[in-house]
Formats: sequence, structure tokens, C-alpha cells
Amino acid sequence: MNILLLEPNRLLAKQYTDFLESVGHKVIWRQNAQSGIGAADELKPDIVISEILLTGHSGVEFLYEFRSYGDWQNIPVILLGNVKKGDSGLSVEALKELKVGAYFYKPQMKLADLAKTVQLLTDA
Amino acid sequence: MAKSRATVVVENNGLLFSSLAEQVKLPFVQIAHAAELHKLQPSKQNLSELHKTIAVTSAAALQLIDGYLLHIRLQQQAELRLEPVSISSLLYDTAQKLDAFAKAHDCVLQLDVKGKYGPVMGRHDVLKTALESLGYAFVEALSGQNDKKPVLKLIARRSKQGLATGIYSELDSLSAKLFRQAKFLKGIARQPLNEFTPGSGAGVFVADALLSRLDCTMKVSKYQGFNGLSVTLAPSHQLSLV
Repeated sequence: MNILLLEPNRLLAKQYTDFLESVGHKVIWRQNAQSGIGAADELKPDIVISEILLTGHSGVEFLYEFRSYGDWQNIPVILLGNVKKGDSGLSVEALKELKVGAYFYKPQMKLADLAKTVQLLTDA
Repeated sequence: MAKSRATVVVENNGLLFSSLAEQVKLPFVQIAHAAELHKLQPSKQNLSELHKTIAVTSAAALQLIDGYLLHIRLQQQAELRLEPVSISSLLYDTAQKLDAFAKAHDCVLQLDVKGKYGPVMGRHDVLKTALESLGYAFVEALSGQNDKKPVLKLIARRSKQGLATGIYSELDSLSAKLFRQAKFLKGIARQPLNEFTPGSGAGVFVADALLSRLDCTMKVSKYQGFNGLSVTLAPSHQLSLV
């Protein structure tokens, strides 16, 4: 699978990339929303994994922009955050509207679960 | 009714602590992921990554915690005794301390201390901790915004009021207005400093709190095309030979 990863922290991005590539995916990493949109255009990702707190435009702002393009309406998205879903400011309606497949609270997330969710959402 | 000074101090400390707690989650997440990677795929390389991650990220987290504790201790002191401090040597030590963290984030660290500067009045422990906190925060900010290898500069330069020192980068997202607003909203998950750094920016707030105890105001400033946060310190005449 082609994965577009939006993660502002270089060390975390390397960990996610190393693991996801070791289980057979191709990962393109970008640090912010603006370069993420450009990368999505080039890469044609099968799935997007994005941190909600990016610098400049947030992951949610990225997602609104991303979903505004017809071609990207049904590409699965996983959100990652350092805050719990309830504290993220994202309502259930917003997550539904943005077609967010899963939300992971990073401090409790396992890399294995992230990989499983990628598989699950792209198989669906 | 206006809040008492004590109430304001307690509230500010609470916000600063929230900001710090949010920031400190990050190194734990990095260590936990590195450990999981090694558990799932045991290899010499993953073990080496685990060791490196633990060393680099725990140093940053411990430094931030020490900065906060120093701030609390300073608040309990009625009077702060200032001493002559050499900024050149302080910046050199700061660069050494930040080196491994900067390398891990692919940042280039540069020391820009041109000319000879006499000592300034300050407190070595306070200035050192503030500059280190700021340095760690800048490395993370740079790591989150630039695709190319970013440059971080530790600068000392003469100013009309004394010696200005601070940390600078090519990032132009940091403005005086943004910094002013961020100081009021520290501790909130999404605050204005997120334009600059993806984390909570705790290192910036800790540095600001420490420097304010020296009656110094940390300001957004520009120097030779670089943008950063700096403080101006008064020269010390105690050790002047001429």
C-alpha cells in the first residue's frame, strides 16, 4: 500500500516509516499540511495517516482540504494525536463527515495496531 | 474582582505545568515505540535505535523538567543574587548539550559568537537552563517544518543595552504577536505557538519564565535574515580590567 504519513516529529516519523515499510508498505513522509497536499497529488496514496497537531495548518484543516477534492473522497484516513479523542476538539460528527477511519491516542498506541488498522481500512 | 498576585502565580504555574506535561509525553511515546519495534523485530539496528532514542529523548525531557523545577525554586527566593556570566562560554556549553538532539532531528547547529564579549550580569544556572530549554524547543520546531536540513544558530551580539543572546532559525512563522498570544494560552492543547512548533512549546515557556526572574524580557528578534527569540543582558563591570 502507498501510505502518506503526515507527522511533524522526525523521530516518530522514522519509527512509523521503518515499521510500516518492514511489513510491506511504501511510506511517503511529510511534516506539514501544505506539503502533504502536494505529496497526495504525486503519490496517489491508498491511505493517509496524519497527526492532528501539525505546524501551521492542523491535521484537521489538512483533512478538510484533502476531502474537498473529488478523487480523494474515499481514501481512508487514520488520525494520530497526543491528546485523547475526547479532548481533541473533534466531534463524532466531524470525524464522520471527514470519514476518519480510526483515531489513535499516541501514548497508548501500538505500532502493530497501527499496521493492523492500515490493513483493515485498505482491505475494506 | 481582580486576582491577587498569588492567584496569578499559581494559575501560571498550573498552565506551565500542563504545557510541560503535554511535551513530556512525546519522549515517552518515542521510547515506547522504539521498544516495541525492537520487540517485534529484534535486530542489532533496532536495539541501537532504542538505545539512541532513550539517550536523546530522555535528556530533553529531563532538561525540561529541571527547567520547570528551577523556575519554581526561583519563585520561592525573595531576592535573586546576580553574578557575572560569560555568554560565549554559556553558548558553547549549550551547543554541546544540544548537539546529539539536533543530530537526531537532522538539524545543523551553528555557534555565532563573533568578537570578544565581557561578562554580563545574570545567573549562570538560570541562563544555561533557559537557553537549553529554548534550544530543544527550536530543534523540535525546525524538525516539524522543514524538508531540507534546517539550521539553528546560537547567537551573541552587542546591542545598545548590552549583550543580546538567543536562538535563531530561518523559520519566519514566529512573530511578536504570536509569541505574546501564546504566552497567555500556554497549557491549552491548540495554542498560537503551534504555528511555530508541533508540540506544546513548553521549552519556550519555561525559558520565558526563567528569564523573567532575571528581569529580562525574551523577545522575538531578527538577525542577519534569521528569526528567533533573544534576551538582552546588561554588561557586568565587576570583572572589567579597563
